[in-house]
Amino acid sequence: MQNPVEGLDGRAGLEEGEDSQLRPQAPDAQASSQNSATEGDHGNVPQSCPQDSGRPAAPGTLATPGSQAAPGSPSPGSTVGSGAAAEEAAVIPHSEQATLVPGPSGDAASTGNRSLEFSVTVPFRTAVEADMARRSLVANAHPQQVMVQQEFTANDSILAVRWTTDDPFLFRISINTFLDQLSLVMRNIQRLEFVAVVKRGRGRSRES
Amino acid sequence: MELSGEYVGCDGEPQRLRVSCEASGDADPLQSLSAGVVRMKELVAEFFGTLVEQDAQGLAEDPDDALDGSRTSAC
Repeated sequence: MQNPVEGLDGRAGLEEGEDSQLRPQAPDAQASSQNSATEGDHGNVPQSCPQDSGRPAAPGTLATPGSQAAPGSPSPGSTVGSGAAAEEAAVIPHSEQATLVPGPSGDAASTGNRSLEFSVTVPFRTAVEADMARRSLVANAHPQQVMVQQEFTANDSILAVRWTTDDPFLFRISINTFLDQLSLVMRNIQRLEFVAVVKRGRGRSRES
Repeated sequence: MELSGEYVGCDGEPQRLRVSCEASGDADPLQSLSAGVVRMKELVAEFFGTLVEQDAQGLAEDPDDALDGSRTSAC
C-alpha cells in the first residue's frame, strides 16, 4: 500500500515542477504555486500555515519546486522543506519573546520617575514657638531649595516639614542640616525664656 | 510628645521613624524635645545610610544594568 501512495506523491511533485518551469513569472503560476504551497504546508504543519502563506511571494519559494523536480531524490527534498519550516517556526517565537521584553522595562522606567518624600513633624509646646521655629528655618532653607524641594507648615503647635527629591543622598544632607538648625532654634527659644524669667524676677525685686 | 519622621520611597509604602520626647518630672519639655532631635538625627543617619548602601550594592551586583540601576536609585 505504501508504494502506490509514494508513486502518486512523486507524480504530483513532477507535475507541479513542470508547471512552475513552464510559467515562472505568470500570475496564474504564482497563484497555483501559492495554493499548492499552502495546501502542502497545511497537510504537513498546520500551525505554521499563516507564516508560510507569506513565503510564496518570495522568489526563494519558486526554487523549492525545482529541487523537488529532481528525479533522483524527491523524499530528501520534502524532508529539507519540513526542516526549514521547523527552523523558521522556532525562530519567530524567539523574536516575539524579544519584543515582549521592553514592556516590563518600560513599566520599570515609568516607576523610576517617581520622587522620594520625607517628612518630619515636631510638636512644640505652643503655636508661638512653632511659628518662631518655622520663620527661622525658612530663612535658612533658601540655598537648599535648589537641589531639594522643602515645604514648611505650622499648624497650631505642630511644625511639619516635607522634603521631595529624586536622590536619597540629598535627603540625608538636607535633613541633617534641618535637624542641626532645629536644635539651634530650640536653644534660642530656651534662652529667650530664660531672659524673660530673669527680667520678671528683677521686676518683682524692684516692686518689693 | 513624639517627634516623628516618615519616608515614602518608589514603592509608595511609608516607613516611619519615631522618637518619644516625654518630659520626666520637672524637666523642661523643650529640653526633652531637643534630646529627641538628637536621637532623630541618629535614626536618620542610620536609615539613609542603609538606603544608600543598598542602592550602591544594587549597582555593583548588576554592572551591565548600570543605567537601569541609576534609574532605580533616582526613584
